[in-house]
Amino acid sequence: MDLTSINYLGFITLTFLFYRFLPLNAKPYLLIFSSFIFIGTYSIESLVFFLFQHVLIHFTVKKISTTESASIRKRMFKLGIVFIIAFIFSLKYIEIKFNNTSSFNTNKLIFFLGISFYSLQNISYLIDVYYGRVKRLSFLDFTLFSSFFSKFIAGPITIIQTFKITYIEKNNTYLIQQGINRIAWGLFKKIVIAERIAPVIAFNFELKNPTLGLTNLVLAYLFTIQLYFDFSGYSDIAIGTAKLFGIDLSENFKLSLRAKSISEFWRRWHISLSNWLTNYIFYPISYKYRKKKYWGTIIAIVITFLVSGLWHGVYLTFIIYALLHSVYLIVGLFIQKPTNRFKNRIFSIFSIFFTFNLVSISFIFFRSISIEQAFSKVKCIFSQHFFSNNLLFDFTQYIAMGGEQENVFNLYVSLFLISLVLLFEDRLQRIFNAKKMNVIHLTLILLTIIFFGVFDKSKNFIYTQF
Amino acid sequence: MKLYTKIFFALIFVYIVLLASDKIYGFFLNENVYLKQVYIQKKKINADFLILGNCVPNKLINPSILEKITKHKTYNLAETHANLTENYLSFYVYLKSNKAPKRLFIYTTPESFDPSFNKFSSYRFAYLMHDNEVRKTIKISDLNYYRWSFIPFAKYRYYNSPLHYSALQGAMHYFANSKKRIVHNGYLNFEELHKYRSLYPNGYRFKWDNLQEKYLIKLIFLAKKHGTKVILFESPFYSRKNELPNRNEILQKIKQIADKTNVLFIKFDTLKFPKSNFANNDMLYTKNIEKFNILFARRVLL
Repeated sequence: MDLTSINYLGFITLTFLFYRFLPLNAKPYLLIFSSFIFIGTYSIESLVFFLFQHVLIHFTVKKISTTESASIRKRMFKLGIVFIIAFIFSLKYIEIKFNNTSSFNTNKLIFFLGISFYSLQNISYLIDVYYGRVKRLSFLDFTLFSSFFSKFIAGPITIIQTFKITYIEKNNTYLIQQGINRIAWGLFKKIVIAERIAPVIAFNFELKNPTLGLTNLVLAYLFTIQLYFDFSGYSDIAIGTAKLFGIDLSENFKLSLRAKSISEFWRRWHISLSNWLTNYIFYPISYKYRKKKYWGTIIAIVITFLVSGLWHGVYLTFIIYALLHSVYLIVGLFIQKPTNRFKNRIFSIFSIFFTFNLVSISFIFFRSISIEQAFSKVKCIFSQHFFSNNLLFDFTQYIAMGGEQENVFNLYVSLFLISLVLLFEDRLQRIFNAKKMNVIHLTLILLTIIFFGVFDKSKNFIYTQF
Repeated sequence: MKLYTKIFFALIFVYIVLLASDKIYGFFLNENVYLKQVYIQKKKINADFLILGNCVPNKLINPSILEKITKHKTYNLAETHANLTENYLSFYVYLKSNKAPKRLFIYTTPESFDPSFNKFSSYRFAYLMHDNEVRKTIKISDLNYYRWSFIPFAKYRYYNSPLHYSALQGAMHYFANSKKRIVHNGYLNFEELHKYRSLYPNGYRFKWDNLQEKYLIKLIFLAKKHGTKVILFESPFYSRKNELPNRNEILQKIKQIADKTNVLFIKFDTLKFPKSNFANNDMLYTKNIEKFNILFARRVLL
């Protein structure tokens, strides 16, 4: 059930109506039941694999929290962690073998939906219970926490401490209004922006291979924009849906493309994953190597990003993408921060543009279907073939997908909409994050979606494949 | 005003905007004579020879050359990616405002029956959905689009770009009355390709869609009902040995349909153009297209 489909809108409306009128103690059961239906509509295999890991982790945690022997607790804890890691990697490996596809593929058959996401949640749950940071949850609460449908496919990755349910009183509509606002904003990002660029990116990464540096660079920019609006759009729909049921999920994106440095970028991009990696990988490693000073930090950065790369998939493209970011961050450690003299508007704009370029180049590895393709694209950008006399021809052939009039027109419309949204993103975000719903704004966004949205080619969200 | 009342009025407003947009788009699309479906309705073509098919005959059969040789008015009604169901509907629309042609040439190759190559583009008939036959065919070929079409304006928005652009083009045509880009005989000039490119992975096996077979037969009978002589034809074709293992088998199936319906099936792949003449498996280079059109014209005069 695609989150942008009419089926999903019908599904959440129906669940919401039942939820409003059910007695308090029946509400969690309804949400769990709906979540199972939601996962089952994607694939029954996904539901079975989820339940298998879920039940095993529940009993492992139960054993850890009830036994008094430290050695058994430690053994169970290690067993639990090894099981999850082995489970996720073996299933991902099977998936690669079964699908026999390239590293980046949003249309592959889905057998292990959401596995990367709920596995991380389970690891943090195990760690937190083992170190006594949280208490063990009842089977009902743990199932609701793990399976809640809006965050199941692609997060936000939630830890027990931040997963809160407020059972809404009938007269209190603020959370509902907030939820509707966020869903509308998420739909706009996905259907109007990300989906409009998607065919251009697919055309140039899967069918054609532009040979001009500037064309490749523009395509890298466009993919960064597509990924941002696709994933943040998904997160908005997930967060908005959760709000309808009184559930607070953590934020995943904060005007990410306005980051002035790579470290700031990671504080704004896929925040739930960044936080998870920082808390459960980076801090423990930094602490372990604290005596090695800078080297300790460097080791921690490299390992953290390596894990992040492998988490995306067992492909060289993702590993290089992650290592590239670790290099950016390590270099950033040694670069002095600008003095106040430079902290002006022009410097800020330059920093944003420079960071955007670094990120876009790294995303070439993320999006390419093979490592050879990624390297050829990057090589092209840094070669003498950056410009050519035939630049316009190259742009129409590749970025306007063959240069047919409809495609050129479509590209202009897309670029206009992207510019407008990027320019006023903070204002738009404020409007659609507001606690109170503004009917005029909502009407305008609905009409924009109808007039400029892409409905026929709607594919899965990019992060569904992970 | 209460929140729910506001939402109610907002939805009414959206509905009215959609209703108005539906009418405006319908009007401007109907004015866009760059679209073949509109052109054949507005201008009386009344061609003697009519060509149907996908982008291959659209780029391959040049009516100007044919007319010179045959002295018969020819119109190329082929459309990019159009499958046989779409060809049927195009011919049906054509007959509504034109007299039946003397001969109808239908491009039928293994690709015509394989859904991976051609499809039914419902949006091309969006502004004709008041017609029962159009609705019925769309329902069979594109059920999702058909369901959405009940919502005002959805039939113009379900498929993203083509109709935005076409409506705008229609508006420009309506206000400026520009006729610069109209190709009056339906022929599509195309960019020359510089390097031969195979369209198929080696060993590709063609699929067979029964719906296309059904609509081909329906199309043949519709033409016969109007006294039109139907000729099925295939373009010159180049393939490496064993590149397409079931191609001949599918051609045989087409031949059986032709025999069953008592129409002629001309296979131009027997002309054996050399590989150097081809831009891809079924498309000749521009310089060879003229040569082929002369052969085609002579053959159809037989």
